[in-house]
Amino acid sequence: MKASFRLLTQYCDTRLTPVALGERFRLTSSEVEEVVDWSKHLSNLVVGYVVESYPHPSSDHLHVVRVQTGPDDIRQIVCGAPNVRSNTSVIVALPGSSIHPVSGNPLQINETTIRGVTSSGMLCSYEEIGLAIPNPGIIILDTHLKPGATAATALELDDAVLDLEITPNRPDLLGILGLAREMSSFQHLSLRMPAIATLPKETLELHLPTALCPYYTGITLTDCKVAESPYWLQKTLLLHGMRPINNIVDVTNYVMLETGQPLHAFDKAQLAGNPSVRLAKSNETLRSLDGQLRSLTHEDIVIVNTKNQPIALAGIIGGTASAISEATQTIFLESAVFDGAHIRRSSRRQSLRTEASTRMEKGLNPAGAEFALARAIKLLEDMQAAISGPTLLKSGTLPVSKPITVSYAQIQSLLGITLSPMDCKRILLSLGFEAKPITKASITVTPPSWRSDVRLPEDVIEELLRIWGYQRIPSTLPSGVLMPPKQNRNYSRKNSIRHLLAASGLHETVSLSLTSKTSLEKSSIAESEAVSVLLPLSKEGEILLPEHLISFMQNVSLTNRTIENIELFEIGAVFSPGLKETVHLSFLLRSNGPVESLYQRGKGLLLLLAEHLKIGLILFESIDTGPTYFTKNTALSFLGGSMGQVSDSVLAAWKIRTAKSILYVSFDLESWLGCLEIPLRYQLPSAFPISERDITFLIPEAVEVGPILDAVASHQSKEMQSKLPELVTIYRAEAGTKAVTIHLYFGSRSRTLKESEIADNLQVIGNVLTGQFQVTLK
Amino acid sequence: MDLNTEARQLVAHISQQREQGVPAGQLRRTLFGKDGSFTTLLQTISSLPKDERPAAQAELRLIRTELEQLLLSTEKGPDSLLGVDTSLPGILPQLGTIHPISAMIEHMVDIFSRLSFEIVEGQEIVGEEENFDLLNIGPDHPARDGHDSYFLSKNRLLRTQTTAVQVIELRRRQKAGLLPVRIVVPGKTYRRESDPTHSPMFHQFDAVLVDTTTSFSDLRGCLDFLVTELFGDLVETRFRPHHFPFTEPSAELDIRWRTTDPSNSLGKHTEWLEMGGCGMIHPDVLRHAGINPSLYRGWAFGMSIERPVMVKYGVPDLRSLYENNLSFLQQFPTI
Repeated sequence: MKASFRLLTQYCDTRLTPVALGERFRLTSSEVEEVVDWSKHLSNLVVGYVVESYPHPSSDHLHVVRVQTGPDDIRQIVCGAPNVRSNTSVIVALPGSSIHPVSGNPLQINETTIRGVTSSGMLCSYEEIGLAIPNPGIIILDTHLKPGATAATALELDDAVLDLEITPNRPDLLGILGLAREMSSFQHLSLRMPAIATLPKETLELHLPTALCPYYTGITLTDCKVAESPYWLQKTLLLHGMRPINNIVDVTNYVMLETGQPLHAFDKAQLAGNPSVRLAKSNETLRSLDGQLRSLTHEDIVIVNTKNQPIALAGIIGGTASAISEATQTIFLESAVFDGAHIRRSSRRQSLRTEASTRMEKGLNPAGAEFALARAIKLLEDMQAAISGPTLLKSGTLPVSKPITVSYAQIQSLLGITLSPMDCKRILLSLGFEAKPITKASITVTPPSWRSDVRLPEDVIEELLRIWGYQRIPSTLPSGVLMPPKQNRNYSRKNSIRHLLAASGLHETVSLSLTSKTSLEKSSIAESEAVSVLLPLSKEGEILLPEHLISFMQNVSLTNRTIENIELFEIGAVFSPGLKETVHLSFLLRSNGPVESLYQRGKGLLLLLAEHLKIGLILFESIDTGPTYFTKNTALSFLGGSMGQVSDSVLAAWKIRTAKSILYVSFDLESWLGCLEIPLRYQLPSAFPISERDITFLIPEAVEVGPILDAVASHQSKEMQSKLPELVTIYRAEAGTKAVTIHLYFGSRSRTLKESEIADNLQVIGNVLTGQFQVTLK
Repeated sequence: MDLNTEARQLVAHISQQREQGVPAGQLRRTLFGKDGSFTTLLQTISSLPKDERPAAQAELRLIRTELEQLLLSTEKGPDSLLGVDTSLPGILPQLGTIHPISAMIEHMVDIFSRLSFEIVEGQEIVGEEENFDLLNIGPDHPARDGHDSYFLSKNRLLRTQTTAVQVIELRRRQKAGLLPVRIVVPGKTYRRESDPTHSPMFHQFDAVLVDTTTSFSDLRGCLDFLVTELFGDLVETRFRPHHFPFTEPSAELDIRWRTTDPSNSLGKHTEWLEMGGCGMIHPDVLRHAGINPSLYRGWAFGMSIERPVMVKYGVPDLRSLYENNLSFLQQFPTI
């Protein structure tokens, strides 16, 4: 909502500057997004008197003028406007000023030479100073203005426009009067209401459907003289972002600006008799004032003429057929309240938001309709643009506000502050509430008609607090019964996992959960495995992330493309069909080293987590039919997830160099967090010595070490196994074979082992290795 | 020459050797080795009369301490003692990083934990009812349009606010007899918008307190505590009016760095900066949770996680938070 400072001060005085006033609004009712200072825009623009004007010696359309811009200041300016002539007053932008035209960037004015003639300034048009008044040529002013007077004062633009963000519960602030009422309340000053005409006593009830139109008023105006509006009206509308049309339409818009109540003027001849209101039929159309032919639906409210033809989209926009034109002699002026929900849906459906619809959709105050009508008639009559007819058309009844009782104890307990009955009374009266009775314990108030948002004691308390001052709320800490807070185990463990992984060298990522079909395809994930968004904003956000792989691929293909060794992890929800949402933990590992070590790293990290979560051993199993984004026969499955090498085709699709392998590990973290913890029990350390032995053997390159290590473990005598055997090294001395060293721990909890026992067991293990795996022991 | 004199000479000799830069290791061998000069001295004790031995032993113990101290004394000149260059730089363990958003959530959760709040996470896919209806956002509220939220089916959508957890969780606790309630809800939220200052996904943090006695000033106090813990003592707060369908009265929290402090030269915000929305829980919302608003009242607060991250660290671009560039991530240390 734009509000001109000058217009506001017509209804309530202030000693505040526009910026300070904006700050008060911010602290008591509405956020102020911007204050546009017109005086500043027009600084160094002055009134000039054209002493002399003659054609430019070397141009067929330019003029050279001599302009007086001060008592002793006569300057020469070259001007291209067709309407420039001597003995007129004009607006001069002096060298050094900058002008803010309607379109385009601000323009710096300098002394210059145009076709050999020095030009010291510029004569301005309305468009050039930022007012879209469609007037070809420069501004011509009354000649009584003193040369050198500031342009801002001469044009009544010594003004500032506040842009306020009005919350949807306050449609009363979508009019200057509502804002002025707030000013009167927070400044303790009185509100001046504008003059209105007396409406005729004679009324005619229209009986319109109240579900569509809770309240309707209208009147016929005769003797219309449609013309261009006076400057003050055009200027005021333009400052508030509205375009002047003609005096009749401009008055309706001006009154909407003042009161927040949209009005519409119809050419009475097109309406024929009295208007009616109904829902449109789905085959009906309307050519609206913006020139568009609109297809109507059975949910759009329309105003119809006596032939039952739609002539306006109620509360949103009028139709061209019934528009005010220069030929109009009689008008029908409507001031009505239509159902907000209908208007909002209509406006969305038609993709048309107008000054009227943004107000109407909030649900307006029926009691304001007649006031706005009377105000419009007053202005039109004062401007001698029309004369009021004898009959007021009406429909609907005014709602009655219910009284609300608020106790001072309630105020104290809700806010933690004490307000005196006097404070409460003063604040509420200044906002238009009735306040009685006022007792020692409570105050009973009736909200004014324009405050239908105030229904509960809490609403009244908010009103009190606004004006009393939000910034005066003290800072206290909660008292009361302390419920010992329980630890959220899942949250804490997710956090500790984060720290563990980060301390292990991995970088945590947080990625967008929305992705594209293209990314799915590139990652070899079928669309049937993902969830689509119903109304995506763009192609980049049409799918819910089914796998962190996609974010990781995006990351290594773009953001961290040049980093060869990278280890990432992400903890977050992924989505699958049936609107299933699961929290996954995923890693991406890429390094210069051999692929085997990537797997070892991946497994190692999982074992670390399993150890941390105390859920025991994690077993890995090769799977033939793993996710399609893995290279064939490289995938392993484990508790709740899988790991494997990202296939070359996926890497190629993401334009990632395939020279380095990438390991992707992902699993359902919730299933891990849900596992029972293995309880920790202390065991006395063994008092007997532990003997450590190595076994080294040669095997062909193709033989896997894992099963051999398992066999060694299972054939080591359990009684003598103080710790599981460990892989020490794999040494590739010559092509085709590898030398593997396994380290064993021999120790008993009950006795010292004999050297011969250990040798015997090693012999058994050696036999298994040579017999079962054909290794060559060294 | 008596033992004492010999010992004194040895000390003088070693002291001289140390000054000349003879490495301690080498001297140690010449002193305490098998045929070392101190070892030899020690052996002479056995040749002394029995009654003199304890005194001699005590004497030699003192000499030994003296010698050891000489060997330990600061080396002079280049340290070639053991051939170790102790001037090499330290090697940091290979560290990863925690994303600043996660770290901020952890920080904020920690702050509220100290005020006895519990953590609730909730689901990201929610029903229309919990995201809207139960929070007084009626069917005709603009937010209900597909234009502002990501619907996945007729009545399921990605939550537009972590406040969606509020009524469900309050209802659960009310049924389980777990009133009063202090909870925080951190997590991802989604809005159908994308421009330089809006991301379709962002993170939010909600705090909710329901008790028989609590007030707007308690809300202010908790938020002041949060802000001071997050940004330090130099930051001040203010409340100003706003409108949310699920709170009454409602407020917006602004913060700014005090200009009076001379150390405030870090380009911090000295203009008021919007941090989040809050208010007393609307009586209808309490009713929706099965809580009697004439016995209980509550307050709720919600803000984005990205905002404090950007303000605290001076991150100018919202979208850089989701790009996970290593050079970005590595600026936020793990420890």
